[in-house]
Amino acid sequence: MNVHIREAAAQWLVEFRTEKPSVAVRRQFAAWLRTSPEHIKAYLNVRALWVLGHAEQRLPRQQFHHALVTGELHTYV
Amino acid sequence: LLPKTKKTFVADIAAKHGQRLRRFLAVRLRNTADTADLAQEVFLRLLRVERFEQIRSPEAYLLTVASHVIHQHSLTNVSMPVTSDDFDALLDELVATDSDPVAQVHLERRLEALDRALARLPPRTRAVFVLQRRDGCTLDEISAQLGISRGAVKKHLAKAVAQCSRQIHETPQESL
Repeated sequence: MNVHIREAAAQWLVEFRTEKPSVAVRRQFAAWLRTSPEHIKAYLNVRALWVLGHAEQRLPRQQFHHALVTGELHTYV
Repeated sequence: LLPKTKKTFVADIAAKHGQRLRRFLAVRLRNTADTADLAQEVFLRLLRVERFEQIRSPEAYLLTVASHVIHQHSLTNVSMPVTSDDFDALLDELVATDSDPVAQVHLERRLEALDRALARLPPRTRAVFVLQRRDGCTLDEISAQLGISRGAVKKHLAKAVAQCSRQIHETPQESL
C-alpha cells in the first residue's frame, strides 16, 4: 500500500479520535474515503492499529511506569 | 435462418463488434490495461449462453454482458471508485466506534507484533503513542509531559499509527 495513503489515513484517524471535526472536515474525510477502496482499506488498517494500541494497557509495563514516576522518561523519549 | 454453431456466432460478433466492445470497456475502466482481459471475459460468457439463437441484437447483448463484467470487475478491483449507497452508514461507524470484532482474534500475538513495531519507532514518537493509547493521556497532558506542542503530539501520533500499521499489516504472518 502507498505510504502516502497510509499517512493520510493515520492523520484523519488522529483528527477524529482527538478532536471534534467540523461538518466541513467530515465532508472532506468522506470525499477522501470515496476516492478509492485503497483509502478505505488504509483507514480500516490504522483504525485496527489504534484499537490494538488501546488493548496494550492489558499488558503491564512496569518499567515504563517506573520511568514516568521517577522522571526518567528521557530514557524513553 | 441457417443453423449456426455457437463458436461461429461468437466469432461473428467478435469480428463485427469487437472494436466497439473494446472502446466501450476502455472508456469505463480506470485502468485501460484491463481492457483486453475483460473483452476476453465477455466473449467467454457469450460462449456459455444457452439460447444464443434468440439474441436479436448481438451488439446490444454484447454491451449488456460487458456492463455486467465491468460491474463485477469494479467489485474486486481496488482502483475503482466507491459508489455504494451504504457508504454513509459505513462512514458513521468508522468515525464513531472502535468496535472491531476481528481485532479480538489472536490479541496477544498481535500485541507482540505491535510491541515489535513500536520498538522500531523513534523514542519520542513511541512515547506519544503509548501515553495516548495505552495510558489514555489527553493531547494536552502529553504536550505538557513531553514539552512539545499539541500539534506536534498529533503529528507523532499519526506517524506512530501509520508506521506500526504498515509494519503489522504488510507483514503476512502478523496480519491483523
